[in-house]
Amino acid sequence: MDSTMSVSKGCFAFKRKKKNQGPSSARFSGQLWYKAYRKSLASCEELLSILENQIFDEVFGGLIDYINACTSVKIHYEIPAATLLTGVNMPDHSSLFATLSKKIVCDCSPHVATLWSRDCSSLKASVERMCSQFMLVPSSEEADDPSCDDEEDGGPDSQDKKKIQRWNCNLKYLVSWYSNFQVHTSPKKKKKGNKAAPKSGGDAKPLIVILPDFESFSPRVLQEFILLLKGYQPKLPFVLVLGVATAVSAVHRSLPYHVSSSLRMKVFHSQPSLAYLNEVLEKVLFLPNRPFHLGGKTFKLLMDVFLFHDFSVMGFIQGYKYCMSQHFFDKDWTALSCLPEELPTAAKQLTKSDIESIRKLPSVRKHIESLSSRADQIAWLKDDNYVKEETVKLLEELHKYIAEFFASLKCLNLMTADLPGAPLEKHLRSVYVLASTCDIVKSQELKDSMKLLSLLSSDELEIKLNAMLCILNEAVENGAERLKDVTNKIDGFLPRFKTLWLPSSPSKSLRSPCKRPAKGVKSPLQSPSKILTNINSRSQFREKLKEMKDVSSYLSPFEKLRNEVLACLLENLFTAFLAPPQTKPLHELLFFDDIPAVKSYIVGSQRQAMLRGLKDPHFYLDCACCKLSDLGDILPSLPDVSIVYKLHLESGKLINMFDWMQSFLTITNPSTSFEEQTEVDPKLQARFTRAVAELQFLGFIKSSNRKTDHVTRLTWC
Amino acid sequence: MVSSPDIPDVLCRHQEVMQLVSLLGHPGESVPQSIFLTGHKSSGKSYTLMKVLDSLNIRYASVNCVEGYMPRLLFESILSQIVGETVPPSARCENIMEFILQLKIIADNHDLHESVIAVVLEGSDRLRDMNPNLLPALMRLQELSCLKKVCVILLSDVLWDKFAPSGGLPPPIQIYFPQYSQNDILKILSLDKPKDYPADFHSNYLQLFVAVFLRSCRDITELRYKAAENFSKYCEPIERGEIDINDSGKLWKHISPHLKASLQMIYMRFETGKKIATEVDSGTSMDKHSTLSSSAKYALSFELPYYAKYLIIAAFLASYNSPKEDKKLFVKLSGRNKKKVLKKNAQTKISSLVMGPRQFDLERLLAIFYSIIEEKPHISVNLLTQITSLVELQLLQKAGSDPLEAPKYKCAVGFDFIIIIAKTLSFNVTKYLVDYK
Ligand SMILES: Nc1ncnc2c1ncn2[C@@H]1O[C@H](COP(=O)(O)OP(=O)(O)OP(=O)(O)O)[C@@H](O)[C@H]1O
Ligand SMILES: [Mg+2]
Repeated sequence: MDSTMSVSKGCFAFKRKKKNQGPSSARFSGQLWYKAYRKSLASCEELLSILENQIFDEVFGGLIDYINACTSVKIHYEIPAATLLTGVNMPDHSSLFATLSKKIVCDCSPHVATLWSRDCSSLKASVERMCSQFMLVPSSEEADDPSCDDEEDGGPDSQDKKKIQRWNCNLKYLVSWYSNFQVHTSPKKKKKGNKAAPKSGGDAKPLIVILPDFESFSPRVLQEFILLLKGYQPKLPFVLVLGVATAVSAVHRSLPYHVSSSLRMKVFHSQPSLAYLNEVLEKVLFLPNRPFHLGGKTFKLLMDVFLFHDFSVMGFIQGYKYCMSQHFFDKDWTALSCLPEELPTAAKQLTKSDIESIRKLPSVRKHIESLSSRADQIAWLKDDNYVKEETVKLLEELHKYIAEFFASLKCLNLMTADLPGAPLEKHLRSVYVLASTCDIVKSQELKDSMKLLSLLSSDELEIKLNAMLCILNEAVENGAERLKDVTNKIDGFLPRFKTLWLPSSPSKSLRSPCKRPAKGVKSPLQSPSKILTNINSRSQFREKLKEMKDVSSYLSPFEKLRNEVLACLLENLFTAFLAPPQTKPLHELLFFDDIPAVKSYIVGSQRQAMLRGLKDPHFYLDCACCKLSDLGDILPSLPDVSIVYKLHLESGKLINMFDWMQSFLTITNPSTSFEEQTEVDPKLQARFTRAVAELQFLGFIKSSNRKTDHVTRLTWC
Repeated sequence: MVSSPDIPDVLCRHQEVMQLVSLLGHPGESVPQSIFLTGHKSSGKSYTLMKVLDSLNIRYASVNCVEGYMPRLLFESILSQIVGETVPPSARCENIMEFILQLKIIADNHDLHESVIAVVLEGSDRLRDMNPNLLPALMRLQELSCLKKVCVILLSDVLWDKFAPSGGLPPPIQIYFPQYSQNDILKILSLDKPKDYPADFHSNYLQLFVAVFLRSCRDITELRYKAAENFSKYCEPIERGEIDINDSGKLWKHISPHLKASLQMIYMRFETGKKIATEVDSGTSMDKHSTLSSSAKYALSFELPYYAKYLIIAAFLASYNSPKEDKKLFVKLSGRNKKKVLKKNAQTKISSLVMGPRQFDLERLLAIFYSIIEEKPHISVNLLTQITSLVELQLLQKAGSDPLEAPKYKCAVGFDFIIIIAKTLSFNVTKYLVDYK
């Protein structure tokens, strides 16, 4: 507390004493959970980076070609401007453009400058930023060393500045620098040949200016900047890359016509972030052979943040990684969260206390209770080695289950995604949420979908079955042997589709199979009116109807087959393999579903944090003097704002300042008598005043016009 | 004068050329301190002036005043051009005094006292926003530098009356460049005649072209660009042998839709080639929406996250309803109150939709947001950053720059945009708008 006793207002950073020694990797590196965590994280990051490269390649391919084309033909008078429509997921853009800039350096030209609007509040600042980035490009000797260009995005402020002075950061100087650069490098580049993109030959490399957040630039700066570049276009071959989040028309909105007509635009679309996320899910998160999975609830939380808040894939991945770190953190038994082949070694390393924590897992307890033999139960509770062996077995089982689960989930999604109205959700991600939180087989949604499925035409059904076979076969190859059965069954159904429509079909009835039997109305053999004529009573009528139903339930061969197929799928695939993960023992090891632990970090809430700080300063300050046994307590050692806040909770809508101060004084200075302190210690009064001002700044009170010496309270809890 | 210099030939600008030549083209006589050329954008000011200066062999320096964000750059650029060196001068030149000094030194070194030096300032209206002493000093450069043959030529598309700073300056010699007439434009455009087509064929085309474009654009640069772009389309059927070169009726039928489409895209330049095809595609797909305004099209062209949509609607409501009405609108109303609102509605004379958006503060935005959204997401960082994102996308505008004060915002999108957004949420905005009839 004492350290904050400063006269001036300020912000004080308190480091947590114990935990905040910094989770330096050195401190953890020896520990089991940390190793498991690193491994899991590394494999996930590797997958992600492969995916990222692949996706960025698609997006940037056209753009890079265009930039190269710009350099080879230079007849136009306008500045070429490649416009990349990026979508509104702002948080992802910085990495997108960082990659783009690296890629351009590799494939097009070493001269790349990235200008963020936050650095370009004026024309002067923009030009200086741009020129300093260009002229920092390693000279020809260093050009091959990739480590040099990292400094560019960080901000070439301190040490690099000595190479070029701010003074020289203008376009005139850039012109002479550029012509020098050409003279120096062009003969060399030609000799090297192979590395410098051969398309552009010995041409002058263009100067590429990337404006990643076009919309946030002030239009005025932007106009002048473009006019300026245009004036130098004959001497400096600029190419602009504009990152536009919304639509091309945003460019024309912020530029007047004489500026917009000096840009020669070509529009490129980047992949919508939702498609990107789907790829991430499919290629990383929903892969069966991973040691870490998100449980349904956590997954839904992350999905909701994505869909409702920001469309940011980055945010999603960060959330995922955070959950992963929470899963492992400080729990050595999570070393078991690894691939099946590593299980035995991991199990060997477990200590006695780890085994104890495993025994305490709710799912394990349930499992022990469900064991039939008493001896097994005792072994679970007493024998550590037995527990190790059993956990390994159970986990291997769990891994198999996961593989089957995902494969069947995909099959289910395949069947139901395009049903009218999509009763069972369109996307795999939503089906996953359903299936991993509740028993999907018993859900109403699945029943509805099955009803709709029983109206499928034969073509549709056949196509779906074929696609399903692909998924299942792949899963079987990857070790999900128990799926073999269903696969064979489905395989068995397929040839029957072929024979269904053969003319020699034995079931040749009055109603020759039509192309769309689904619509074929089951016409009763007799007309209903005929039957109804000889009915006298209600019960008779009912019986008759039953009879008619039996008659009308005569099915065409296709309908029979269809029912058979659906029943088989429901029983042997969905019911068999889609039990929710919570029902499996040891699911806590591979599925992370502890929402309370991560929610406040993933969905940060500043007001809550503020209230918590005021109510319980110990939570943040971590000092011994502020430890509260009850949150209502007010100790003199609490920070002043906290005391004032707690006192104000006791008052009504209007707060009398004088009373307030009296209570403040009694708490901070209990030694003096309780009588009205007419002579107030000015130091204490100042502290009080400051605390009240802070509270007002935080928005809890405001001054009142109704009564003098009173303030209005603004919040109630 | 006996030694009449050769007069450059600039189409339709004969008079202006003569004026310039008479001012600058007589070596024996003194030159004016400053000349002010004014006229619309692309009315040929720079073009004419450069022709004249070149043909008179006058030493000149031409700078664009956009670069004057640091006056130093202007000065150094002028000096180095006068000297004729390409590398920037090593000597620094921070202010007008140093500039004048250096100019004198250069004149001494290069023996320039007797030859005309023109300093051409393009876009000189920007000079007004710089140091207030700069413009007057530049306009009297001759006097201040004691170089009798220095002439400052200011180019601007602002008239002198508007241009002159409030303190007043002695008016310089002004030359006004009037807008080109239709005939002038035709003449200038026909300069670009491609070699492989006969002149009257091209001029026929230009007649058609100008008839379509002239009403919306008189900018020569843009017209030249558009004329060239469309001419290749005009000739396409001839090259394919589908239409005879003399069949102007058919050619017109062929080109007129292209011209109209091209008129829509005026002042926007997109890469030609493959792009054009997709452009036309999007054009046809847009036909379905052709009744929509451009802002509605804008709204359709990208997707916002769910809460962001509600936030922007809330911002719109906050901008176009006065805070007084909030209670009536958003607190669940009883039937009688509703009638009152409607009555008031009839009384308001000017719809606030016409008045433009009002400012509102964050608290009000959030309050409205929570009253129009069914589920109640708690105020999280993610939600608040959405507001910043919307500002970045220029869908919201931040008003007031004081970082300590509570931020105020304004909605930057119009009714059409909101209607589209609300439709995707199946949310009825008009219910909450006081002034909507
Ligand atoms: N009389 C003319 N004859 C031939 N070409 C012309 C003529 N007038 C204008 N142009 C063409 O139009 C283009 C634009 O003219 P110019 O740049 O001189 O306009 P400006 O008045 O200086 O415009 P701004 O105010 O934008 O600087 C020139 O490149 C030139 O090719
Ligand atoms: Mg000009």
